[in-house]
Amino acid sequence: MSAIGLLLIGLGAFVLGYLLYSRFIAARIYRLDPDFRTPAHEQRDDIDYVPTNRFVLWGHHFTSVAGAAPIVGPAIAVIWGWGPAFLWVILGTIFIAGVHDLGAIWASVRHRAQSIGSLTGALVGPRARTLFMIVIFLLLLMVNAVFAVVIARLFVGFPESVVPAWSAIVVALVLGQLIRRRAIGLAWLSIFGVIALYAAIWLGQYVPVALPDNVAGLGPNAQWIIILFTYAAIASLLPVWVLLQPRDYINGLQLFIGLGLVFAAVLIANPAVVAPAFNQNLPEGVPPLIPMLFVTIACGAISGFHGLVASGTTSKQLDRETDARFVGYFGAVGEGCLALAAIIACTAGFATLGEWEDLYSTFAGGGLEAFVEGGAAIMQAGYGLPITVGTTLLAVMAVLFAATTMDTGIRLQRYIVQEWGNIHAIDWLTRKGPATALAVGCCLALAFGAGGAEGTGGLAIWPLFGTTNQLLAALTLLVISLLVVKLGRPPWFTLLPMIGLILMTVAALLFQLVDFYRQENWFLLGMDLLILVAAVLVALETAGALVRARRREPES
Amino acid sequence: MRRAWQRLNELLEALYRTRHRRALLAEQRRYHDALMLMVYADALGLDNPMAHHMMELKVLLADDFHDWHRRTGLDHSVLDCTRCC
Repeated sequence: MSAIGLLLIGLGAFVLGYLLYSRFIAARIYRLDPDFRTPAHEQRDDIDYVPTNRFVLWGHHFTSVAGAAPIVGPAIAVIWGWGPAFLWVILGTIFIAGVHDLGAIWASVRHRAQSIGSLTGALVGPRARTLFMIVIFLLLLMVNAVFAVVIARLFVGFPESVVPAWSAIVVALVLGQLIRRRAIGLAWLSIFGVIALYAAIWLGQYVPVALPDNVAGLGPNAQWIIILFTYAAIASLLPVWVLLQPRDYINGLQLFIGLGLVFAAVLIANPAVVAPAFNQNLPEGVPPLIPMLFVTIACGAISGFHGLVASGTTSKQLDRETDARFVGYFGAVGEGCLALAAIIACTAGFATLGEWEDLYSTFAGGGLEAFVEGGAAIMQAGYGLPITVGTTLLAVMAVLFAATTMDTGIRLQRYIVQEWGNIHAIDWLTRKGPATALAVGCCLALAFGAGGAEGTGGLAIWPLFGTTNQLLAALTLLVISLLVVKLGRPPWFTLLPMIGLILMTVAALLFQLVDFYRQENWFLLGMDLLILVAAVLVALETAGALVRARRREPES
Repeated sequence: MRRAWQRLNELLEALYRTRHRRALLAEQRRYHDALMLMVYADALGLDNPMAHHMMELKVLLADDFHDWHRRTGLDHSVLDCTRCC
């Protein structure tokens, strides 16, 4: 199989999905109405509710949901061969993710732009709402721990990426100041910012940074994890405009540039896909494809996190209801493209099958390292980009995505802790410092609790992270299905994906439960049990709500 | 060409502002509230040695006064001179 074939089939399927399936869903199931007054107009306050150009809103939606996760998931999952990962990303994006994102925006827009969390409370019941909050909290907790481990591994594996990744902070700080002072137009500033970032990437190859092997009994991985959380704590305390805003912006630009570079290289070089379509020669310890594939790739095929963005900020800025199709569905397609790029880089970027199998000798063995090395090899074959520059470029891209997510994640957790402090009148918890310390402490405990003192095994949380994400998606699809049922329209297009997601999630959790028990990893076993209970409760709530909804007469 | 460049600038600006608009406005308001407190401190019974110098600002900020006193939890204006409600 040639990589161009894979790329064209994938992109072709996405185009058809957008042109045909999303049109059908928008016209027949959600029945988007161009004359409906959206909350952006109805409740306009120029703070949250602002009618926004659909291209800008798409950019916002896409760059908010796309990050390191749609790269990490596929990069691990190709261990079963490129076939299953490819099919799941393509079909998942077309039939589930797009419908889910579009549906979340629609449901929210039709209910005064309420978030999916509040909608769950209103439509399903207070118990489901509590469940929703628990699932979100677990997701936030895990995402920080997982991403710290991911970045640490990249820094250790690619020491050339250390200097550029930290230089990006300086670039963002300067950019933030210049934009605030309106020095020159943003287009020029963006060009200078990108040039500065890529110059740092070029320089990175001359100054690799490796931490000492042992500091106070901690190896390099563990040291990086601690440094990263210290950074994330400080960054999350800074005002948004100082660092987070320009960083988010540069990441968005980088996302488009990175995707363009990888796709262009594939088109020029047309490398052969060396990995098998279905890997018959699985290394020991690799879990079974069903159900684990469906939780290993969450973002990139279907992710509940999108529903939070779609109903949290996107729905409040939708100019016309019909824009939801472009913003929501096409946003999901954008993320599918990123996952597709990751699959191609991880399967076609190697000279021989043996080389590929060496890297994928354990379940989490490939991961981002495979994406970085494979992608760099394809870029070298395509337009002669030196291999160290290529690896640094991709490693920095992944690091920046993950680090920005950590910054945002810690910030959100701090808000939750402060909220608790307010509710229970605990004064010290309402302060920024202690609340941040508590949030970071939880994440550190998770990163080290899961993987031992070295923090290297932290990627064991990845499938758990995936299950939680899928649970959230299932809850969102439940809310959408209930609305569809109430309106007397066929619910199968949202209900079937939801049932599939819950089945796979529960199966994956049960499988992992046995696995953690065998490994005597009590920490992860506890986490798994907690999520399993949440999953079963979600399933019960779903069944109950649907039965209730069907008993009632449809409203229209 | 020039117009296209201008348009690109506007789109990028919008993209830059969209995501964090809320957080930024909230922060701006905090600063603004602090300023209001400083300017109208004497109206709340707080001794303000700079009160004399704040007179000019009072006129400039009078438009925001109503919003501010509602936000601080006072249903009615505490000022004798500014009767907004």
